[in-house]
Amino acid sequence: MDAFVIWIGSSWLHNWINLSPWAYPAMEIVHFTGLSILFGSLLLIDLRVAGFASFINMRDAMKFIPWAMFGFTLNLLSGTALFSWSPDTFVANVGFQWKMGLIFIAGLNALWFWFGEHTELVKLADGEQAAPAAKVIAIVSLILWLAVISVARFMAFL
Amino acid sequence: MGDLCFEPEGFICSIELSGLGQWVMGTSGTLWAYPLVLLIHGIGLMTVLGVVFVFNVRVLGFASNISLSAYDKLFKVAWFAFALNLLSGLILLVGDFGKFITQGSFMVKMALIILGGIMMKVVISSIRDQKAEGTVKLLSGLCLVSWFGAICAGRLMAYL
Repeated sequence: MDAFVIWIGSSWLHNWINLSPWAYPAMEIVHFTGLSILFGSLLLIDLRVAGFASFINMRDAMKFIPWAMFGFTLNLLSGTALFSWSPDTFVANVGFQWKMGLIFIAGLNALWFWFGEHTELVKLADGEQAAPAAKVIAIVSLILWLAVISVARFMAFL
Repeated sequence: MGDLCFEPEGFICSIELSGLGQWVMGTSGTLWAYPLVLLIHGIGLMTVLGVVFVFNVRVLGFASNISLSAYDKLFKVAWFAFALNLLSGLILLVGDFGKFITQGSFMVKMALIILGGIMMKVVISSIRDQKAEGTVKLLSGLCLVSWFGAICAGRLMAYL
């Protein structure tokens, strides 16, 4: 971990994000765009699974998983570029620490969803309610990502 | 207090120095006001853009078994989030009124949001009127571009 922080702090990415006047804002725009795609896709899937929009076809809702992954990948890449701007500053930021921790938990939650519930969920008919465990995962997912957005927004003030 | 507030009795100052303006900028001592309002604005924007995104990729032919009427519930969520953003946006606007009303990126953002809102209505009604598929998809693409353009302009407000 330390090795990564040291490496990225002297990488070409670090030089680019610091020396180009438009690199940082451009990466922020990609980060916002990626988050919108990720959050919108999760909103559709999670609201369906949680039972708030159960008339959405489950199999089709699941087609948004690749979009969620796409949004997440955009954010992983743009986030890495933003991080390389000043790794030490981010590592020391309480908001950043919380953000990484919450994303990690959200990742575990997503794995549970995929390996534990996915095969059962796609069998649901339109309007049919998901199993309670799946509903919990969906609601926890929404709460976690809202929390990620919240602590991320506070990073600028900490 | 912004650069354009140099006449205490003037219009811009009277807005920036209002109770609400001082509250959000923290000059009246409430230091958490600005981060909180900005946070609400951030969550609202992700929700609005997210729903706009999942709707338009559906219109563009993706996951086409989801009935378009199934999006009505998501639109309610999006409208609620939009209301949150209108409110939080107005509060942020009051706080640094002089800066924003003279800022090019702010004007572009407002124009793109209005355009994006109209485009959503246009896309929905063109589907209802069963317009040619090509037309609907073109409108839907333009709708996505306006909304994501609004994100770009909004983010650039911090720089320009």
